[in-house]
Amino acid sequence: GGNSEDTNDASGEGESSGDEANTEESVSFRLAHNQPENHPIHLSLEEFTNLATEKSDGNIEIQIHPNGQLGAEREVIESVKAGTLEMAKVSAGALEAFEESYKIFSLPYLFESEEHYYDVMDNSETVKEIYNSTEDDGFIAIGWYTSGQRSIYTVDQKVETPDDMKGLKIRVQESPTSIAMIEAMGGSPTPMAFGDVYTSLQSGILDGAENNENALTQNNHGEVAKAYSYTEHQFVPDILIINSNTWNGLSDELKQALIDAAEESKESHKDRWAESIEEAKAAAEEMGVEFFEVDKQAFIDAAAPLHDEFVSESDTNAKYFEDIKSFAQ
Amino acid sequence: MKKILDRIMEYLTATLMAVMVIVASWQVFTRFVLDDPSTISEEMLRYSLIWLTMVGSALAYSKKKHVAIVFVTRKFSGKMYYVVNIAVEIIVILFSVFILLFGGINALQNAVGQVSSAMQMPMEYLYLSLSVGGILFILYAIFHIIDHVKSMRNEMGAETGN
Amino acid sequence: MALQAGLILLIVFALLLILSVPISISIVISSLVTILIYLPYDISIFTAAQKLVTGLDSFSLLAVPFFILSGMLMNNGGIAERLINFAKVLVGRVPGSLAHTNILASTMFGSLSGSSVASAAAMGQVMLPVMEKEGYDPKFSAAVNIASSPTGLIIPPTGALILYSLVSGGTSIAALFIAGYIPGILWALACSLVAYIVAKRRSYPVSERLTFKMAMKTIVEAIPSLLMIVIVIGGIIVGVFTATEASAIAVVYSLVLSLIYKTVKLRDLPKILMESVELTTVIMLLVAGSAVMSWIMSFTGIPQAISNLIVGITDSPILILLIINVILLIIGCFMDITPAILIFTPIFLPIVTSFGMDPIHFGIMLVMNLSVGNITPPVGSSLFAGVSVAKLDLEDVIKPMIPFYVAIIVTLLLVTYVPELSLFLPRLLGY
Ligand code: NA
Ligand code: NA
Repeated sequence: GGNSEDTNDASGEGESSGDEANTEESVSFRLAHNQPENHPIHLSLEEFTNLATEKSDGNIEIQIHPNGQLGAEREVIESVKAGTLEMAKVSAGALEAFEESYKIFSLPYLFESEEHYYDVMDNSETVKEIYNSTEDDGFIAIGWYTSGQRSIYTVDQKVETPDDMKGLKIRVQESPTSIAMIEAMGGSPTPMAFGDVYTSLQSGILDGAENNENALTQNNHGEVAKAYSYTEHQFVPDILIINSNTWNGLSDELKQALIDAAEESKESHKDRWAESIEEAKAAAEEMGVEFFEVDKQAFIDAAAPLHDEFVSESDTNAKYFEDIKSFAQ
Repeated sequence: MKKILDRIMEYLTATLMAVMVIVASWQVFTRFVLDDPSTISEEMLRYSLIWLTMVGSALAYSKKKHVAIVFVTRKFSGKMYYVVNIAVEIIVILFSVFILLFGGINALQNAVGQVSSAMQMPMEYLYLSLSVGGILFILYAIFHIIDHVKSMRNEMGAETGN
Repeated sequence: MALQAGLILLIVFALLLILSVPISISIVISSLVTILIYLPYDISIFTAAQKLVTGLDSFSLLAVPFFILSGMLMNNGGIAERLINFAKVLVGRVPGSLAHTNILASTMFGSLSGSSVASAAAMGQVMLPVMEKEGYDPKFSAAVNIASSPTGLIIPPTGALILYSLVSGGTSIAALFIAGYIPGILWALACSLVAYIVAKRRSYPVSERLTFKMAMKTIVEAIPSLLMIVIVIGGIIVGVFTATEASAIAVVYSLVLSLIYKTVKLRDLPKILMESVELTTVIMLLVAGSAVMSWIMSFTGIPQAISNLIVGITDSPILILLIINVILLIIGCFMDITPAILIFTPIFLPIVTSFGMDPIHFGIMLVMNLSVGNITPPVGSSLFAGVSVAKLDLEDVIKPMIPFYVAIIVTLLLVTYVPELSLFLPRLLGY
């Protein structure tokens, strides 16, 4: 029956309508993330949800909860595991606490360039394996989004070599990898809640922090930190996760719809991100932030021991590391 | 029995509070004076506060310090007064059993395999605070019920004896 | 969905409150009942338990126990008396001088301890007998003491603003602290104005002139206490420590001071620690419980629904702010400031930021508004403390309180509609 093509009321669940066009069970998910609604990732996730609905003939409805409304990243991962939420977009860094393999993305200078990074994320077996490594823990990953590179920015000193980092208190995320990284790069790692960073930069408790260019504008750090040095030490991807039971309960068609939607929105996110970085950079320059190139090789050399240590930890680590390096030109 | 438990909990929580002040001051000292910021103190303080709250709020419940709106129930007298008070204790027991104890065990099981960021501590230890707090709340609510039943008997006994 | 969820949440919550179940526990149970409608049993109890823990997992919350502890140390110390003497030197020659002394000392003490209850009790204990001796009507004296006690909730350091910073998604604590000064001082001035008019009409005496030597001695004695403000706020601005860490430094400083004054002995410490644990954990359980409630509210879209409701009535920012103020004043009559901040910030903040209000400004307005609730019947912790320290009945002080209520609400409206009163100082310091 082609009489219900223009169903405006998708909410007729309770009523018995035997002659529906769709034989599929329709599903409705919640997707949580912690960025504001004007952030590029929110726009790309909106694209993802629209595409998912479209590609599933309206059988998948996804409601986005932005802004950390439903909790911080660690909480929402727990919630996806438990089944409170079906989906979430979280940083690969937050997944480290749940699955060791995600640590690889926090290794400084793992990726040699943006091309290398995109190539690995899109095409490597390693990434696919890591995506599925948590299935028994209650969730898997079905896609990724770029969140750019992370570099060092300070109140006023440019950082060209590891020697310039001596004695600088740099805010890091509270993880052993990040702490070891800043130590290797020559600075004093200072774990601190993200919300305190602005005032601490302003009052001099911190000398700097590390993040992508968006932090200068979205979080106004550019008002108090005037020197952004392109150390480009990390490319940490954002990961799209889904509850295992939810995933396994889906028909192949719906699974494919989700994967295709993630793939397509991921691609347009690359452009959206590049654009937002251009804008952020221009806006930061207006604020008086200067951007500096650095002697990257010196930092790469300084970080090398961290790579050796990671590889020596386990055979899996070594295998993943080698696979990723094989993509470099 | 209740007094001994109170005593132990009082000293444990007071010590924890004192340790927290020392650790926070240490954090300022390592950064400002030693120029070598402590990397685990912040997480330690946050998790200490969670344990302090779960255990300490049970203790505060023992002493009936939690804020409640009493201007309605204050008007009750006689048997009604005790019925309402015992009902409140039962509600608190339900809260402790289902949310703190059972929910706490669920949260603990869900956290298996997860480690904390700075100290790399298994997260089960953090969620364990819920179940421990729950057991304490249940014990204290039972103590309160026993007290209520005793004084109700005394009061009713005094009335009939008149 | 939001409407149904909101109704259930409200009804269960109200029923439990009327039964006199502790507020924190009522919050959690009513939230769980609501969650159970949407999620299966085991996921519901998991979520409630998880939020109780993660709701407390924030470094800035540590300032609450530490400021409570330093406040406790000061209450036991001789700090209150020294501040009263100091205030007398400053305002002793104004008509109704003892009333102004009470207000000023209360403001200074509150700016150190951050507790309006402690302020009402400590000031009342010392000041009320003196005021009665000099011919002040005890009911009026009690009213002055009560009305001026909440200034410490607005003037930093204050736990209320720390909580607001947390639930508002990380509004700078340092900026909020600095923003609180002018509105807090305005509150004190409003009380002084009322006291001045009443004192003039009833020709209450002014204090005797102090000799210069006496005045200097009093000032010197008060310096170490006042120095704490300089250390705490100065340390934050200069960059020695964060606002959260400052609270631990305040504990150390007030401990050293009390030991030097010999008003606290080392063997008193366990008892002081235990008392502060009680106060802390009562507040923290409220914070944890509110995290559960605000999660179920976001999950079901309640804040959005309420926001649509208010914006549906009017789109004039002036009227919306008036509506919010009236709602909060009514809520403040029944609910304590901590749960009220935790529950209503996520509901109202998105509405006011949508028309461009600064979250710092809204925080000050919110805390100031809810502070009024501390001194209004039927539930008002400072009101109760102030009445009991004056050995009066609640009914006695309500009538003399009325002019103070009027003055304070006028001040609240000023702070609501003149953003500069809150934002001038933080902007000046570059926040
Ligand atoms: Na204060
Ligand atoms: Na009130």
